[in-house]
Amino acid sequence: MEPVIGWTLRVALSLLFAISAWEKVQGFSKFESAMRDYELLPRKLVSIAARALVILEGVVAVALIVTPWAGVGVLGLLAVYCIAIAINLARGRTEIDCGCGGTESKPLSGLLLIRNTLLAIAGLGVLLPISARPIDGQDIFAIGAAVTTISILWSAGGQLSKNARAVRTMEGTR
Amino acid sequence: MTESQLVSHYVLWALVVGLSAVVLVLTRQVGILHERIAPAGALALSSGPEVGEPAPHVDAHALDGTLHHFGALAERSTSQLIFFVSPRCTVCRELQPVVRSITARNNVQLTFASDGDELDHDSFISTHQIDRGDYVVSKELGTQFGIAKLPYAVLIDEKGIVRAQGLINTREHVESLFEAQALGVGSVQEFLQSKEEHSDSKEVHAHGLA
Repeated sequence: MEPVIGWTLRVALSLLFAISAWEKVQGFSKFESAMRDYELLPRKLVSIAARALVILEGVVAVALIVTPWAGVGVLGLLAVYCIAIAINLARGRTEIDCGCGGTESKPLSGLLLIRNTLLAIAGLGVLLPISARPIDGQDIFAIGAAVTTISILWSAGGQLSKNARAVRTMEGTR
Repeated sequence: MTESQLVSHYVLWALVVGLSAVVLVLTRQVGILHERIAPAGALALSSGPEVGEPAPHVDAHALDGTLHHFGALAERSTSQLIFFVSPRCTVCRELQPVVRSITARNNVQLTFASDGDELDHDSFISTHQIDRGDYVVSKELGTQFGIAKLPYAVLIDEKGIVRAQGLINTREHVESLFEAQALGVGSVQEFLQSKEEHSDSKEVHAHGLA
């Protein structure tokens, strides 16, 4: 794997998990109640599991910078989320909050599954061995610029999905 | 890499970052626009019956002497809109053709309700060609429905249950009453509140359409 691409994936995923973990710490009670709404775990376990997930996200965020094996953690977490979301979509419970972090709730949808699958592909990319080409200043610039662009486009994507929901609500009231 | 390639590499990255920033700002602005155009609707201020409650029973004479029965006991074939006006209120005058066209389109019986000096009503009715039989002058009606501000409209269904009501100042407000009846929501406040509670959830319009 070309080092610029490999490192871009690692840094971008690390940022994503770090922000996600931070948001979940900030709104921990909200995250806990979202997990309860998933109705997958016995009530007593939800609190422990929620803490474990937040810690795991933080660990994965740091590990991504240290070792490519962190890709395994990325895949594991995403697999858990995908299964949990898929089960509730199958139950038809689209109205519950996805617990993705952030101050606003976000309903479950197939889009979340697609999003997580794309992230999992990036996680697989992290696992590929990085070729031993020496990294120069220009590579570092390219990695930084690519991560910046990905972050901005990620927020734009989030905003777009929020807009799409607003449009659907409007059409529903017409 | 040659120098020109290097320069182009940096310039292109700068442009890519700039473009994605523009995209982000644009999506945000679209989001803000959506918040701004949240539905405008009639504000319910009445201290009278609430939406879902039976309308108070009132008998009142129209200007031509016909006796109108209002309230839950009066059986009727269509819904009824009581439009509380005053001949001296400018908004009422401006709004009355709108209310007439919307009620006609929705097949709802329109009754004007007012109180006060008889002479004023006569000139109001003749200027706007309102049927004397549809114009009720009764202080009791306004009191029973708890009308504090004009123009106010109350939508009552065939069974005499209040379905929507509110202070109306624009066409959107009038339409919101019928929208509210169709959606089974009492007022725009209630709608926005339920929207907030299910914040962003698809359920809102699923309920709405039901």
